[in-house]
Amino acid sequence: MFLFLRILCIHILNSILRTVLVQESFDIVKKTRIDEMDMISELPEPILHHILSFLPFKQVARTCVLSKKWEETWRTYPVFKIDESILFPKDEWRYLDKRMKSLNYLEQTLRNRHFKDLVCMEKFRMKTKLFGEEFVSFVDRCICYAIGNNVKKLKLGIYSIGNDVKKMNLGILSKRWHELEFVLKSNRWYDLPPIVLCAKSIEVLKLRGCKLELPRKINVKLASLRRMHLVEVYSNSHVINNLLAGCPLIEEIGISNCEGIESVELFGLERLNDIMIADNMGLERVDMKKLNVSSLSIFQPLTIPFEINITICTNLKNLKFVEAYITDEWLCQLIYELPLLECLELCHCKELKRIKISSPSLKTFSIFGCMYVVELKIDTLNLTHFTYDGGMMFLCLNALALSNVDLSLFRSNTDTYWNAKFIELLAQFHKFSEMLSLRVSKNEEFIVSKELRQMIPSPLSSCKHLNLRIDTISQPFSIAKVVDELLWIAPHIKTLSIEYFLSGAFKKTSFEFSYKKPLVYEDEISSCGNSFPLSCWQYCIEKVKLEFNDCEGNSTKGYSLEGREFLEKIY
Amino acid sequence: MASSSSSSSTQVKKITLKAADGKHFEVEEPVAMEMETVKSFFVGNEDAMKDMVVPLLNVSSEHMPAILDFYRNHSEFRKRTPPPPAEEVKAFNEAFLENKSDEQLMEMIMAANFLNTKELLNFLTEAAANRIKNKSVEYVRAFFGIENDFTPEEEARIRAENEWAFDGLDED
Repeated sequence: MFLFLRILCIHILNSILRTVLVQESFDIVKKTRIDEMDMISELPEPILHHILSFLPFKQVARTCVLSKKWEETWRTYPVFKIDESILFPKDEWRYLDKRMKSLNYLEQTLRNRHFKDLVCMEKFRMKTKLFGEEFVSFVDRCICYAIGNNVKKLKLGIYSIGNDVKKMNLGILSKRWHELEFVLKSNRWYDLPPIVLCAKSIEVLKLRGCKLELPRKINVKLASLRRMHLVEVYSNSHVINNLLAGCPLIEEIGISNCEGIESVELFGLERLNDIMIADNMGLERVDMKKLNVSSLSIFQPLTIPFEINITICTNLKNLKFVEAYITDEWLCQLIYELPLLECLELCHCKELKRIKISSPSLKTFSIFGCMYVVELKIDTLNLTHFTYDGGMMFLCLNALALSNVDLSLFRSNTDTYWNAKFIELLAQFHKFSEMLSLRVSKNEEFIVSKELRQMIPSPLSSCKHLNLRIDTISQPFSIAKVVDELLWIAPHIKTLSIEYFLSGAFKKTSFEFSYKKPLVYEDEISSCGNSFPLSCWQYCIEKVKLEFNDCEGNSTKGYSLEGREFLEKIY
Repeated sequence: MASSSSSSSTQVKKITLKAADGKHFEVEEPVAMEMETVKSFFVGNEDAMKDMVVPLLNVSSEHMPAILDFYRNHSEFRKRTPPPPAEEVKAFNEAFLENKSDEQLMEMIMAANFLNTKELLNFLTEAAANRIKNKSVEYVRAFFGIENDFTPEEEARIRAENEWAFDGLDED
């Protein structure tokens, strides 16, 4: 007690000394500005709070010494953002006992926060690692005061201590052995005070690194909660499902990197609109029933089989599965039950093989890295954007509104008919797409032999804009050859751009073609192959504009060529 | 047809605003409606627009042209598709703040608060915050001309109570 008083006296003395010095220098300033009015102090408190909201929290707190009016403004400031720069500046957690005294003042400030009628704490945020039991109970108390102040947004980020322990000086370590032991034993999660789960004022709750438990007598009552995000939280199904059932107004839920939760049940939450579930260890099952949710995203790497049940969620518009255990039949059935679905994204779903999708509402459909897909049947009248990144597959497409296609295929060396299949796949888009992006891993991948060109028609005879991206260039490489291939694939194309990396630099070459009329097939036999029903592009090409770009997109060179010159350059 | 469309374009409704010092400003209706205070003046009384002069008690005529210019440009930015590049908006905002003294900035904040326009108020309060960011207490006091009405003892007590905010300073 004596020691404490002494420290306090020294602090006060120091502060007085400092202020006296400051006061002197300030008086000089004041004389020069004596006529100016104290304008900012005339501003109403909400405006002052607004200005303060753009400043670092520590500086906000320092405004309390400006004047009496500003002290009052600080007392009613509705936001608290506490992080380690406030808790432990200059690594002071090494000397925790000393630091705790300073933190007691912080706690008092929080406790003495007084808000005028109907005003409550807007936001309380705390971001820290945990050091010792005394500090943990300090964190507990801070959270309780925030709840006592009817906080609306509560955000807690508790981080693991791992790296700092390694950096710790061993001498200090031995003296603080009991603390270190505490840290190592329970460093992973912070035991969230259960009172948080009964805080009626909370509208937004974001928790990281917390452990959620529910004592028997306590019922979850988060009557105002709109948004909840749990990250690296340890809990169990019982608590989570009680929690979800206790938030009648919830609109947005995110559960990611959590542990211990085996199943999540979402029933009858009428306002729930957005669900994100990602990478939760041990999660086996998600049940959704009677929800108005419009957006659902599930990312669960296949550690164990994972079950998703979605029933009567007819408002779903956006659906995303990443590394989720879903099967062809299940997906087909689900999409059938979603009359409003607009956007579907499937990534790395390894169980999918033959996908069949029929949806009149679907507008955007993307598939990435679903390695075992061999067949894709899409009947989607309103689809505008289609993206496929994966292996060769058989495609059956009915999508009259399709305007953007992005295809990226990897080649298996064992498939000798790859080129022919590739052309066949491209031909699926010939009726639909005006704009096509293609990505290939090597430049020789889409080379079509002379024989093949005579045998089959050009696959993209109505494509107008083509963009090709080549991942790796293998020699011999000639841009003219690539253009020749592409002009067979998409004859009478208007614009063509080719992007590639060559000797470490990104390059882009763009072409703009104009043609002589008519474009009707005139029964000519030519080297350009069977481009029926259009006439061979070589005979009607009129003018070509060329542009070379570097990595920043700057145009480096531009040319304009007559048709004949262009042909000479190509051959 | 042609005559009616041309007449409608020449007859853009104007609203007369009166600044605190009595000077009048004729402002196109959509620009005037950016200000909630002006808008609420006419709610349920749209016919009054022609002959009514709206008094703006807290806005000096010195700042009116700049404020109106802000509304015009930002409403154009909002309407444009595709949205303007961030640099263009930034360039306008920087030019807007250039040559504005701290005093002028404060007066404009009061004006924006009175006119009740969120966008302008947000923009100006952030600009004010940027001018004092990471500055010392003494600097901030002098900067805004705040009179310190604490006795040295009182100030020392407050500093001690908030000691956690004064250690480990990283001020400019």
